[in-house]
Amino acid sequence: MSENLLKLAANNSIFNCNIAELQYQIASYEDETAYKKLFFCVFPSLQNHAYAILQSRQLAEEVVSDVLIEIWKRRATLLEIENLRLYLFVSVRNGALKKLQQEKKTSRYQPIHELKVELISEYIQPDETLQLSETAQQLKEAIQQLPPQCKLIYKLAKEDQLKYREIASILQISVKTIDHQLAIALRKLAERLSISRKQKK
Amino acid sequence: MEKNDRIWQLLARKLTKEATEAELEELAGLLKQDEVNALVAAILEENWQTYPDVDMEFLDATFLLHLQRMQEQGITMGTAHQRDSTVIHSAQPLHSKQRINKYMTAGVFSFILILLIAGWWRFSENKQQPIPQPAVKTVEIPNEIVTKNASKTKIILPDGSTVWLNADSKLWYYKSFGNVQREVYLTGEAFFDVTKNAAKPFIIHTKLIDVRVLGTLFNVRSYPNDKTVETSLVRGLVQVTLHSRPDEKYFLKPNEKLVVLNVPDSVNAPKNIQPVLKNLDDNLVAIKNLTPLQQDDSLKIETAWTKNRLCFIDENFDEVAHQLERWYDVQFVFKNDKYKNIRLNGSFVNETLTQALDALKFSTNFHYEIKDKTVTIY
Repeated sequence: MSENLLKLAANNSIFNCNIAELQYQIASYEDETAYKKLFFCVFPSLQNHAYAILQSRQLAEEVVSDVLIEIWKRRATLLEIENLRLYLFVSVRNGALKKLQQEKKTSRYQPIHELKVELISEYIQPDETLQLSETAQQLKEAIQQLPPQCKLIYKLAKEDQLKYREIASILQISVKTIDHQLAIALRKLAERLSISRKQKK
Repeated sequence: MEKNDRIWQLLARKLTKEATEAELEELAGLLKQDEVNALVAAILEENWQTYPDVDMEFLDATFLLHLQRMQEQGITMGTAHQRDSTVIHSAQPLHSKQRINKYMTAGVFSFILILLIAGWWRFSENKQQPIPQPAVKTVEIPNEIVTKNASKTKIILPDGSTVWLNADSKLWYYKSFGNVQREVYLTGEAFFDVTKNAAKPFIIHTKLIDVRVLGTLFNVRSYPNDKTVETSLVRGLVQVTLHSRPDEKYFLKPNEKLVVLNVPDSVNAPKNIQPVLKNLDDNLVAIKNLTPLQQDDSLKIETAWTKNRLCFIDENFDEVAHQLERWYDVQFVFKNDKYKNIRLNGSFVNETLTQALDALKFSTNFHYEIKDKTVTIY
């Protein structure tokens, strides 16, 4: 239990980073430590987002790296950005799409349902010595089996803690679709959990 | 909309903090009448609050690459010059500069302290042994762990790190292990789970390469008679240097492996070999991804042996023969060299040698004969 709490505390320091505060530090004091912290806070989410479009870890890393270099370059005017997290996601999306055109020499916009989405929790190899509880394992499998669009929205809402309207502007779809898709995601997960419970009985 | 669907829509809004007061009340009301869904909703809500583990070492490595990219564009950051200290302090990447300095000071002090203790220890040891030392230099005999064919063993090192030693392998280390660095020597194959200790790097010396780590899960395969020497990383960060290219450092990220060609030449490799770019094949070294046993499988063939599974994908029969020799403690003799180059796939757990050979034979056309411990292929 205490171990779990520790873990949560450690993770919170990553995922509940105060991005606005870091933004202010970078813009006002050219604070390199704040910049490094921002990198640690946003890199996993952004790389996974780029990966969904590019299907290459290497290219995804380059795109995110480039976007974050731009942030440092424009640190003097950084405070002009109203929502930095959203700005980063949109920049990464644009960068990834541009890269995709260069790499594949096609101008075709990849529809969401063709994306291959990976959650951070999938990409990072779980500690082999830690056994997931049965329920956690079932959930993990169920999440893996969600349709791409559904999964992407689930990821952006859960792992990246973005609001509906933020997800909507990143994916360029309506808030209504987000609302609907997230309900579908939860329903599918719930169905999986209830089925396995019934089977047990 | 069905009542059931409404529950999940409202729960989604609740979890993302998009729900209004009225919607929260509506959800509570719906769940009160529905015991089964209330339970499932509770599980989903609990899961929503959990966050994935963050691999700090991986992030640190990525940040180093990022700094390199910045440098290429002419942007220098304070930390860019201090590559090593950034790596060493990977466990505390989010501390302010002040605290990093503190750690560095502490590190320097503990290093001096170790030197002092080591010095005192030697001094006092000499005192206790007034008998004059023989003029002949005594060679320290290392702690040595050896496995034979068809056997594996698990070792716990003095620092708590765990090593699984595969068949026909040898791992040894000296009394000085852990004084300043944690150094071990390996021939054969071993899977390492190294305990974190940023102050004392863990180094594995092999014939061709040295692997330097800070605390990770990885596999090193360095059999004298194999074509390649491979370092496969599961988690964390390792840095590999080739003896033939001491100035080049190769960083591996999870799910990557460094493959070095095991040619006699590469020990005394000509100096004129140009350093290679990362992720590019050259004539001696390459970084590749680990191969999943099946698609989307977390089990990789490179580390399958630790799960008691013998795997190979699209490998030459003579390479496979080496693996089978170690796995089943037999010797292979090829009566016809043409069979050495047939490509084989295989994955065996509890199969006997005969079963394994029959399975391999199924897709090709060789014959075999087992006499005592010799397998003849014809």
